[in-house]
Amino acid sequence: MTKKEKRRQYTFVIKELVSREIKRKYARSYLGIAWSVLNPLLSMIVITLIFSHMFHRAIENYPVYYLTGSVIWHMFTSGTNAAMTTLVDNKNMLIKVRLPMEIFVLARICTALVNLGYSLIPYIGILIVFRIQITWSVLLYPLIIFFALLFSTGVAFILSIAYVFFGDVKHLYSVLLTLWMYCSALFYPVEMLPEYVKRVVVENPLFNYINCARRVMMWGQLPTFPEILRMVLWGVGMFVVGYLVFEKNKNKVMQKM
Amino acid sequence: MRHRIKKILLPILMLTGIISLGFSVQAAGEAVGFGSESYRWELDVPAQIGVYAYSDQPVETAELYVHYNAEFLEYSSGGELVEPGTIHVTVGDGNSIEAGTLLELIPRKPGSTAVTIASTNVKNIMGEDVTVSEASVAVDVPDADGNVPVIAAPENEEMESAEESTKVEDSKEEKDSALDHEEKQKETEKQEGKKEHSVQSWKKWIVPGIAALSVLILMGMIFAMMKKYRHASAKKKKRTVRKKVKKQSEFAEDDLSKPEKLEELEAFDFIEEKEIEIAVKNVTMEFKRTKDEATSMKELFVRSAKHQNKVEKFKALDNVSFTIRKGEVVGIIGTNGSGKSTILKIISGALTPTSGTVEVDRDKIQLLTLGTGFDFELTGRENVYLNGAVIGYTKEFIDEKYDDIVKFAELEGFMEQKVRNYSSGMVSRLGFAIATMRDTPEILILDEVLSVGDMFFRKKSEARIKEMIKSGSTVLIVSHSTSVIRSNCTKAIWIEKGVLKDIGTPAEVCRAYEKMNS
Repeated sequence: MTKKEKRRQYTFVIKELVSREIKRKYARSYLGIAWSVLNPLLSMIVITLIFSHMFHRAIENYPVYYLTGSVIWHMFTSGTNAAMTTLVDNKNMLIKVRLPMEIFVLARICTALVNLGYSLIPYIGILIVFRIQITWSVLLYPLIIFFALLFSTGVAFILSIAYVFFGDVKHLYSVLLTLWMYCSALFYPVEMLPEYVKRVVVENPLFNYINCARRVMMWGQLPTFPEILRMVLWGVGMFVVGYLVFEKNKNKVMQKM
Repeated sequence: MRHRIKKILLPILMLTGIISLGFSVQAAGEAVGFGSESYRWELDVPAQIGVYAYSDQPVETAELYVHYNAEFLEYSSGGELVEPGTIHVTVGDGNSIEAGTLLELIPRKPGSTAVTIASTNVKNIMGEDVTVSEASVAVDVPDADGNVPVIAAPENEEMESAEESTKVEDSKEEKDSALDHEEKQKETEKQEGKKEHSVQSWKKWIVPGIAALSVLILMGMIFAMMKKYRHASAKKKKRTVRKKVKKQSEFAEDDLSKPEKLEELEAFDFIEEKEIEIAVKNVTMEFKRTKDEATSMKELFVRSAKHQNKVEKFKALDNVSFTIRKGEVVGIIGTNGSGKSTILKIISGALTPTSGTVEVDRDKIQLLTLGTGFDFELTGRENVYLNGAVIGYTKEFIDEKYDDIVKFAELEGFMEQKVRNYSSGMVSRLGFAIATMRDTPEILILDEVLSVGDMFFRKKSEARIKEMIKSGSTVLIVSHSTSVIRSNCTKAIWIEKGVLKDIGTPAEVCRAYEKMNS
């Protein structure tokens, strides 16, 4: 097989794996894929009911504020969580079939991306309902998603390797995610934080992606230069690091299995 | 590599630490108070007193109940009179961290009294609802001579009694005692404040404590991983050195002894002039098994701290070499756990050997596996595409062969059903049909898949396999059945406990194998 054919084949495999994940996720539910659309809407309603009164002075269009952050946050968590266990879940395939191991990680990340695509449907609906002014800056949104995805992939690479050796990583990661969520200003205004906590939150790469998305979608602004720099550096840096870790440990993973 | 990990992990660690510490700071700044530390008002002249609620977040609302002694003071304006002696004030607008208002009172009788704010609910915009303990301030109203007669503060009974005991007739002394009283009051306030403070400081430490603990766990994990890493990299270095040495000696050896060696092997070959397709050279595969392996972080941590991570080496293959020529059908035989599957995995590239090399064009190899990646929640059709993709078929190829696959598997009419509802025979038939629908690859590897399904399907599947074997490609079969090897192969390799025992014609090798086992 030439390189081109190989790449085509791998894309096909990833496509099949992604479609399996999605079909499988809703295999036993009545509404099926509609849940991918409903879920973000419902969680938005819940959060809005609870918090919007509290922050109505500081945040305009609270539901939009929350949803903009939560779709990105959800892509990150669902992607990394699923990718973490992917090598163990597909142990059988790994041993028997000669496929590059990255494919399994990438497939789970792509699944998260597809799910993000579904949640964009209610998101756009909400944007229209709240009459958010759409400006040209919206064109930057895919780019932000791309770098967020790159960042998630890097994290996923590391987690997937770690999970093969230590099952505990899963539980540890869920705790870390909780902490991470509260540091990502998903449902509260950053301005409210004391100065030094704010500094930490601003340095949080995920908050950076979320904030950039809010700028381009909600406020019609362009991200500032340091924000763009952070966005690119975290995305590319995490991906490279994750990939290197993954490559280094591939063989050990096979032996372990 | 270790350094790289360190470099990456340290900032992450620090970040989590900082973040968790940041969150530990609770809003503990709620309080109530007055505009001044003490007041001295003139008789019958309206006087103003500021009452305030403070928070570290903007105050949404605070309801204050202000008590005063109605004997001495009379309410004028600024709040809402509940009853003589109690004023109700609601303050706060959500913008300022200090919310307050001015009350106007008129002193009606000379003396020393106090105004108190009873315990209050302060609600800030973060939604925190904090009950603040009371505060009071002394108010002196001098008589016409400028002296302040001592009179009880009505709200505080304790103080009343204390005050009573210090009641003296002399006006000068009275003044002193009034000061005394004031001091005492301040003292009690201070004490209360202290108590409150200690409770808060105790609370303050919970979150950082947890944060520090989690950071510690994280660090432990990283430490353990790094330790593991160090071992591995040190070993790797040794190994590469060894490998180099070995390679050099091998080359030297090769030049001299290759002809002899090959001749030796070729004595068994039927097709001598054909080129070598697979060359396995001195392959050793070592698995490192930690003695009853640590499966949890805790165990690993404890063990690496105690240096108890005993590594047990297990040689699945020990210096195995052989060559396979184009067009040969080679059977690999051996008892369970003797390393047959390991050598297949090494040849197919799934495993990298500890030392030694395998020369083969990996793109030519196809490992025949049944139903890899079958998902029982999907339909038959979806599984054909999924399984096909995984074992290397293109979409066009599957589209083209789909009907053949269904026909061969005898599953017409079942393809839109979930595989969950299939019988096990149906599943293996489908798997077999997908796996064997390919154009025969140049190197085919079969790992005990020769017979599936019922008697009739078995015949069909055996015919299919024979067809593939005969179509001229190189075939590797792993089996512990000598009859399979006798009837299909042109050459047999016997591996026992990781050691190459014998290479030769199927008849000879199988005889030897059976002899050993009987």
